[in-house]
Amino acid sequence: MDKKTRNKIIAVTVIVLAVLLVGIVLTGSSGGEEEELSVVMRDGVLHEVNRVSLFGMDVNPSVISGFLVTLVLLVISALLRIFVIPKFKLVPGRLQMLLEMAVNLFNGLAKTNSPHRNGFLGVYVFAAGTYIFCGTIFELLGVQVFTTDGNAISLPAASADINAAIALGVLSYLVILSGGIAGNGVKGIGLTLKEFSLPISMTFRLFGALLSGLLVTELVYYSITLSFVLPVIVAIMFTLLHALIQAYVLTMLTATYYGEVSEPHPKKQKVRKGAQTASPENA
Amino acid sequence: MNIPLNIDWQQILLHLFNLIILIVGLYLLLYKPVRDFMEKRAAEYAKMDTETRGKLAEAETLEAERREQISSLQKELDERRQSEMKRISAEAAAKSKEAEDTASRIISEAQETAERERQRILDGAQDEIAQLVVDATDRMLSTSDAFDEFLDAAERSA
Repeated sequence: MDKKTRNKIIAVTVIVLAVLLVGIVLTGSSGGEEEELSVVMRDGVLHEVNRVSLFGMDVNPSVISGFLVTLVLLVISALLRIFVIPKFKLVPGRLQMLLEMAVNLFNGLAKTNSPHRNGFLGVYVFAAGTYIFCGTIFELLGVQVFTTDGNAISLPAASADINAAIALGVLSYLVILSGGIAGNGVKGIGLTLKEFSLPISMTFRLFGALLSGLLVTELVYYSITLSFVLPVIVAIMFTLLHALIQAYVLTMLTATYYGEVSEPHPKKQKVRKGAQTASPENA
Repeated sequence: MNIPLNIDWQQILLHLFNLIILIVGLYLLLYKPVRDFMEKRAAEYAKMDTETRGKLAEAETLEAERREQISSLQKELDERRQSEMKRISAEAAAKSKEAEDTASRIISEAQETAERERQRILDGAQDEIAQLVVDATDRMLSTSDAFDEFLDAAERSA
């Protein structure tokens, strides 16, 4: 391609884009005329308006996202189990290496933070990490569903809902509690209950982190002047960062607390007063 | 009961239900098979490592045995060499002595033989001289003229 042709292509592209921009500004709405920003953001947080029907139940869109993510993950897992895992070799290929790395990452996390008891913890952090990561980047796909009011909305992240965050926080706490019971019995329950604020802190940490990304994205999308190029960068950056950070934070916290409460505490030997005084006499 | 923040027990339970399905499904379909494979591979590598270490130890033992055998053989060889050297030296000395004895015996025999021969030759020469004298005397006696002439000559000269 010579220089003249290249300049011609660039000039035509710039003119077409300029015409489109003028057209967009002259013909379209500003994006905030139909819904107030406060309404958009409130709905982004609370999901009070746009609800989706699931087997006759009105649920938040993130429930649908969660089920879809689970379905996709299980289908992919089943395909990998049937077609890939039986063909694993001693010297791994790329896909095998990726799967082994994912399993080894969470298995290693569990073993490092809870060296005494980590079988179930490894499974849980693997599933939770995968769910948070995939559930968060799921919103980038922009899967459309119809609300009960007949509006079309794109599905949000699976965990961008207080109920999903509560479910993850509570489940993580229950897993930690199970580790305490398995490691130390009744004492383990006490050790876990001592951290009573853990489910709340885990819940709101997860929800807050995802919500902040969502709100920033909503703000950027809301203003037409910020609707070019920027949303692509912001959305992908925030989504990927949150996906990675939140998956890491929740799994790391769960593994750390699990390790603490499941660590065996040796029983203190009771020393009898009588035995102490009697021993010199006997000697 | 209206809980703030749109918290809904039913939806929490739905999320929990979903999460438990996911945990069990991922465990059975992905986590366990991959981990089992990795453990199996690690066990196989550990087994190979143990076998290799065993073989290495065996090879080292064999090498040590061979070294010991070589050193003992070397020692035995040295001993044999020394004993053979001694034996050969003794044998050489004996042979040398024997050769010297033989040589001296041969020389003495030769000397004796030479002496006998000389004596025999001398004896032979004396007999021959005596015979010559006798022959010459006989011849002179048989030829008196010559004898008389001899005597006359002797008298004239006297």
